Amino acid sequence: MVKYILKRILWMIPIMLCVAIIVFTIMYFTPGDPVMAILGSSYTQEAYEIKAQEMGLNQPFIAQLFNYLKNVVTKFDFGQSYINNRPVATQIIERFQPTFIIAVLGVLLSQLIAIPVGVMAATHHMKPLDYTVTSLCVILAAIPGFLLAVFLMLLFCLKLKWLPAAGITNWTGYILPVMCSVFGPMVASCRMTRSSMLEVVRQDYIRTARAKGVSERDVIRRHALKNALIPVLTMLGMHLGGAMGGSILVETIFTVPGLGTLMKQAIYNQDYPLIQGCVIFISFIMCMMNLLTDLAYAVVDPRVYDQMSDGGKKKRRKKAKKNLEVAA
Amino acid sequence: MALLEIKDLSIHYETSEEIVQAVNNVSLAIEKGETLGLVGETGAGKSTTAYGILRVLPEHTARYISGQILYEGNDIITMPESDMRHIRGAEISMIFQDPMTALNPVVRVADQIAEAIAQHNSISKAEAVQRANKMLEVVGIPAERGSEFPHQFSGGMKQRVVIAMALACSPKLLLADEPTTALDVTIQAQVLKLMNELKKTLNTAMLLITHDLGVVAESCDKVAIMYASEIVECGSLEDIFDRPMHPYTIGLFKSIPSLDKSVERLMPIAGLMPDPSNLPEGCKFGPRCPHATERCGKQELLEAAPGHFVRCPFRGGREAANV
Amino acid sequence: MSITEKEKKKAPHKGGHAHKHPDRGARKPEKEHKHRARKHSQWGDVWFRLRRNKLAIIGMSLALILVLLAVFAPVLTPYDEAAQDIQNRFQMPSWQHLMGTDNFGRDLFTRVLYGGRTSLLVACLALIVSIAAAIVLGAVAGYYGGWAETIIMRATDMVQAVPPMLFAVTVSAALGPGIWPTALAVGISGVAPNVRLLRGQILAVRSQEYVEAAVATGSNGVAVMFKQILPNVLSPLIVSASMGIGGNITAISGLSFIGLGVQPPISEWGNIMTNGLDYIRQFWPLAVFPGIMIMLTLFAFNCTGDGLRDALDPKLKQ
Repeated sequence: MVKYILKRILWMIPIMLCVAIIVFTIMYFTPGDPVMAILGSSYTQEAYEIKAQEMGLNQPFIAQLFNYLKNVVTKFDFGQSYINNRPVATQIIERFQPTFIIAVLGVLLSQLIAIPVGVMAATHHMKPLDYTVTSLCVILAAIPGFLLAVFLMLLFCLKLKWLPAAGITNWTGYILPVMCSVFGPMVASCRMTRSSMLEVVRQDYIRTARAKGVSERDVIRRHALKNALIPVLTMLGMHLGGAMGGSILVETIFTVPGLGTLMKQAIYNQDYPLIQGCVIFISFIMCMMNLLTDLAYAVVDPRVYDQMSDGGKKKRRKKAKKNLEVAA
Repeated sequence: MALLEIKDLSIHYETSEEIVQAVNNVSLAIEKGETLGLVGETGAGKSTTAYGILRVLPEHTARYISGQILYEGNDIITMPESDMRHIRGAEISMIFQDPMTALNPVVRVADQIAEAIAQHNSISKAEAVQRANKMLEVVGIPAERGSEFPHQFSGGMKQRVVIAMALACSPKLLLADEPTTALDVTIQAQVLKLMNELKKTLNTAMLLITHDLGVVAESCDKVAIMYASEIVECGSLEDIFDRPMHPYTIGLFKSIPSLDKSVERLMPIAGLMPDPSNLPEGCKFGPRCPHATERCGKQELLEAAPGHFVRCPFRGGREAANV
Repeated sequence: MSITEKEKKKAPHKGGHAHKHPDRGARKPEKEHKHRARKHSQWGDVWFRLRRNKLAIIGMSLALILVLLAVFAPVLTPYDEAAQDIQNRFQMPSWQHLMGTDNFGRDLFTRVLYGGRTSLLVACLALIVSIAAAIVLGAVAGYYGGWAETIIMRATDMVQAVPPMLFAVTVSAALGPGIWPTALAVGISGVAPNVRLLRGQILAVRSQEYVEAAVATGSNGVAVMFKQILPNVLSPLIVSASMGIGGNITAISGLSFIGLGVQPPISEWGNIMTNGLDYIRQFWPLAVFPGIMIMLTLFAFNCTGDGLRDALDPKLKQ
């Protein structure tokens, strides 16, 4: 098991490297000249060349790529922001917290609501509760996070004046942004839980449990739930990705000083190192989250645990031997 | 009083597209300690009958249309669910057809057996697990393997676990739905032997569902032949094997390849079983029967000899004087 | 005598039954109607199942209406999209201005209609990009296997390490605003899951015997691919496409909202909302109406996608 974890962590390195390469390359080929943008409208050729050298932009593409990667990997140096010359890494660390809180809190809360509701809808299949939940999910699925943000802001900040419209000066500022990140994952997980439960409940082992005289509630609790949650777990990583990615929009609307607004500013200013840094950083967080999700998988499903433990080969040989002994 | 008496049971599956008449007017009786073999092809309605007895039919589509299932005199169909739960697992339990999917993949094996025990006895969880491990030994699995998960066992061993689970509370009636069909022949023999031994020790009555006449010969006292949702013939083991009367039964025996005779061709029964959502009027076997006449309309199950019932006037050519 | 009439004769139940379901007598005439013979072609069955799904019908009708609104936008409104009338800015909805006027006095309904045109157009373009790329990549990976497959699948893994919205943002930031750049950005960010899907399908179909037969009779690889394999992997692709439009519209409006995507003077629901956010205190319709249109569109295409998925997957029985 430990071997598997190590293997996954090691595997993350080439993946992140490739992500960095892809992102860097995309940004590199953007039309527009950063040196010109910084120097302004009038500059001498000499000043241009000095600046270009300073920023390392006079070198060929591969050299620049190589330098960038080297800096990132060895010194965690993502370069300097074009605008204010501060290190990108510092800016990211400063603004990381609110984004993280909103995304994680949002996804956690969404699951806490979605899973019980999904289970209830499944156990009351074809009854009014089920129809209500399904219809609600379909309707709510049509509301993307940023739309909800606009509507909520209109309602709670401007009309009702209950919550602050901008910033996170105190904890009430977090309420609406978190609500927005709860939404999407909640609807998706609810539907997934419901359909997964409906499928699990049709399985033979559920019938076996009922045939033992176990009450319906216990059948759901002890047998159906664990199996049904497996596909829902897979989606967790995806939801976190969505939350982190969607932070640009939600944070803009609520003026939250997080990575999202940092990225938006960077885009507006064409501050490519900053954009690169943010994207790579978020992708890295995503990779870690995906690893955690996969590990959670192993906790819930013992077949997966066995697979991860040692490729199953040793275990399979042991199993075959054991089975032969008994049959004799 | 018979331990289990089924009177005129009919069960249908209803979907928005069609109605499947799975079981029509089935009547059976099983005495204490007796083994009744329920024989028939796939789709004849045997499993549905068994599920119907235990009331584990699919909730949304299955409906009891008529009849009674009397267990020790009480009608199971009208019993409240709480009473039914006391019966399931403790008085009547079931072994299902496919051992590969009958066990919960994420729960340890001993825990699954212990669940049955704990459900019907007020003992601590630890005690239940202990008894579960003992049951594992009884079916030939070392107790240490109780903490493993189903995917770590082979098919035959999984079926033994299922048997352990079913017999853990010493039920009076065991419903065994094709318990050996999914297993290799050698494992089949072992599992059957195990079941017969346990049955004798606990004096459990058994409803053994199978399509294999060989299995019937080894384990059953009485036999009922099912075809297209109806019982077409039933009687003691000797009645059915030595003096089969219904053309279908006769056809079944004839179609078994013989080890000692050498023949040019096998003798299957011509045709296919009718679609249960579209059953023919009159005798359901009529279209395939070599002895069908215009007289063959709907048939009732009548006693042709003491204890030997058949749903056919042909009676293997030994027609009674006037029925 | 049909089965249903026989059923009716058995109406009084002997011994009652243990189920909590209400008596279904009222449904019997309907069942009789359904027993009429119906043709069992594959697409016929799909259409039959689709028709029965009320939500899908609502979704498809709504989607159709929205598409028609988008296509016939110029005909449906007398106003010019960019005609400003500062004196009449921020008018509330009236018969003259169905959705009111914006901060420059432009008719909001017109802007929303034209915005819808843009959103749907870009979403479709992005979809075409995604699907075309996915078909090519997925087909190569699935059919030819070997190192081509490895490279393509590993590349897919890498790309999927970046959250999709961020990827679209990155590409869009690089390419700048505009219709085609946005279509490309959103399209590329949507390729990865479709490639996986397609490759999986192709792998499953490839080992079927009729494909071996085609190859054995001398058809070359590409021809086999197109004639035999692709028609069979169509279903999941159709579902993915209809769900994809919804996702694309969200991404496109999102991008426009933050200054990428499509910018004025071209109207797009997202960039109308940006405007709307600036003036949200004094004139909420500017932010709300485009938002409602986005919601309706998503609803329509999601229901359609769900309906298609249920209709195409026969394993789903109640």
